[in-house]
Amino acid sequence: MSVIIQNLSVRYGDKEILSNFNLKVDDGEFFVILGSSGSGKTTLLRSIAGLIPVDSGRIYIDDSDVTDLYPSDRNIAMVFQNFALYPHMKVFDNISLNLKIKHVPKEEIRKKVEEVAKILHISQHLDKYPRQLSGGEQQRVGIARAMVRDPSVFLMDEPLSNLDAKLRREMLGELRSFHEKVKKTIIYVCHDQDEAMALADRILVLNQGRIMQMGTPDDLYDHPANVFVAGFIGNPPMNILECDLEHKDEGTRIGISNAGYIDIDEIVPEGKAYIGLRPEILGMSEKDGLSAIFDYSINSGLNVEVHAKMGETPIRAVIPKDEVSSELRDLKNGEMFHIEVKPGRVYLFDRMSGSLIREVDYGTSRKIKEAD
Amino acid sequence: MFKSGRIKKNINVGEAAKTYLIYAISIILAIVYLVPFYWTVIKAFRNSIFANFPPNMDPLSQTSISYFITNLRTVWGFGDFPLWYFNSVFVSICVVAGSVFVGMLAGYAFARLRFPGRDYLFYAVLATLMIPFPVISIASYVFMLDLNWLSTYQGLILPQIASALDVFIMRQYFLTIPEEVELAAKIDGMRPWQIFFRVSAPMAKPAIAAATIFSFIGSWNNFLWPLMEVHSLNMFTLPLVLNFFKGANGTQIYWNQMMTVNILTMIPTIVIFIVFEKYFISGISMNYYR
Repeated sequence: MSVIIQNLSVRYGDKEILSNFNLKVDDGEFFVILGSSGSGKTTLLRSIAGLIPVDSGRIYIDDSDVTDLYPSDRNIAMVFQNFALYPHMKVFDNISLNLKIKHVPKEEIRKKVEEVAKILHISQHLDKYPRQLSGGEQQRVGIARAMVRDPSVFLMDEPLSNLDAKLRREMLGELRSFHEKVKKTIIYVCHDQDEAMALADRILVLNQGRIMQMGTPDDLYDHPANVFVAGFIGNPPMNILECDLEHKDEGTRIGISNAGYIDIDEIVPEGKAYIGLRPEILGMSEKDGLSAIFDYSINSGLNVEVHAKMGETPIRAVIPKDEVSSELRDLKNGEMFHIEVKPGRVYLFDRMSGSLIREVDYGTSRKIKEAD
Repeated sequence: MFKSGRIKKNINVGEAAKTYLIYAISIILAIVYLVPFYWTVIKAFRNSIFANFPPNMDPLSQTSISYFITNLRTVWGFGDFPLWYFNSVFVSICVVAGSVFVGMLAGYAFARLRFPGRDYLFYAVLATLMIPFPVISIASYVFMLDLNWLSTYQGLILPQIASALDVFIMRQYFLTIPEEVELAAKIDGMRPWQIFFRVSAPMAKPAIAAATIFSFIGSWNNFLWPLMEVHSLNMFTLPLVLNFFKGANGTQIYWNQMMTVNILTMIPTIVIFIVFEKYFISGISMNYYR
């Protein structure tokens, strides 16, 4: 079912966390709200759930106004980061509590609980207490508790953050297939862009209560609307460097302070800007390129992730291992080397507002010119 | 994850010495505390009413179970002893039930609810911990006198129910319980009172145990308040009764009978502790355990 938020404002003491916030989540969508701590993402989710009082605005679930309804009357279910199971109740009672409160007949409760337990592979744990289960199993119970109610909307508050990396990867896949199975709207809050990219149909990037960008994972990755999104999405995220734009030979020269410059063929308004360079389009060069100071590198098998500094700004490059020469491989901390920009897309952002000026395809046409 | 606690394998000599020192001090303290109990018990099994110095610590010398039974009979038949015993039990149970319940409600409010002046109010409650009871005893007495509650159960019980310590223990514990569990209960359809009784309170068992033990001991051993409040013999509690066996104005102290009363007095405290001991440590260390 769709969720619509109109002009929502939430204050906490003197602090306005959300003001005049608007959002529409479509029916059946896996919608991820991505933001760092303090971005207001949990506040947003809890307002939808009815767990915190809102100061103004309306919330609609499935076209009916739920703003003044008690959480359990909103036909939503929620999964929490720290699982939030009832420690003094067995798994079965944890899952069935809501049905019991609603006076569903006992036989039906048992049937429903066993059904969801089977889907989530926790059938053998129904008679245990939560503390007897591992973190992953506990979170499955949390999801089962949400699922058994057959809600219109699932709200998930960083459900995977308390799990270790391997388990998290597993659960990502399971959540995706869970969504395909139940075909219900899921609103999922997290701070991890990997999780967001893996799960979402649509991502909303939130910063200090404001929408930075909303779109499909590919939209956000390929066409970031501003510096904030560019620096958030991607692993490792895009490098953002201060630069000066200056017209030169029917093109624009992008001067990166203390490091050098690159030329593009497009005319972009002159002035101060940011340039965004994905780590994957950077390479190492022995002779020319942007000068940088080597910090350290991390070998991931396929690629080498090089950490360096350009002036004071840290910069990261992800380079296929066979492109790194042996001389460059022996670089020590503090030594100078050059970073080349391979043909690809670079992004220019306004220095003041941080919003995108233009996406530029760098290098391809210039190379053809040199071949003449 | 680190439950075993055996992470370090090479404990150096200094640390070993420290461990032995801690054990040695613990053993000495245990002996210092246990010797009077030991003497209490063997004295209750003796016939002689006198206490000698140095005390005869031999458990076999002059002791007999029949002496103990005789002592028990004498004590139980003394005055209205069964009534006094009942008074003590009844008053303490009421005080525990009342003060733990009030502590739970107030502690929960201070931990969870948002209302203006909450923290100042809590500090005010906490500050009353610093005031010794004798300071307010006269005021309490006059209050009870005005209510015409002297020598009544309510006069004995109600002033002991407002326990800042219980409020403090409960509040600190509720703060360590993750709020999300209560939010989950809201979404499951529980109303605030149900959440309190069916989720929050059961999760606070260790704190309830700690508060129960503290308030029981406080009320059971309370001497000063019953001494002031109670003017008629049929409302006496055990600490006042013990005073009889101490003798007054140079009369003889019946040591063996007094020690028998002591044993009878200790039993409920020991029972309470054994029952709640499982949760006690977690409760006083204010740590939520899963």
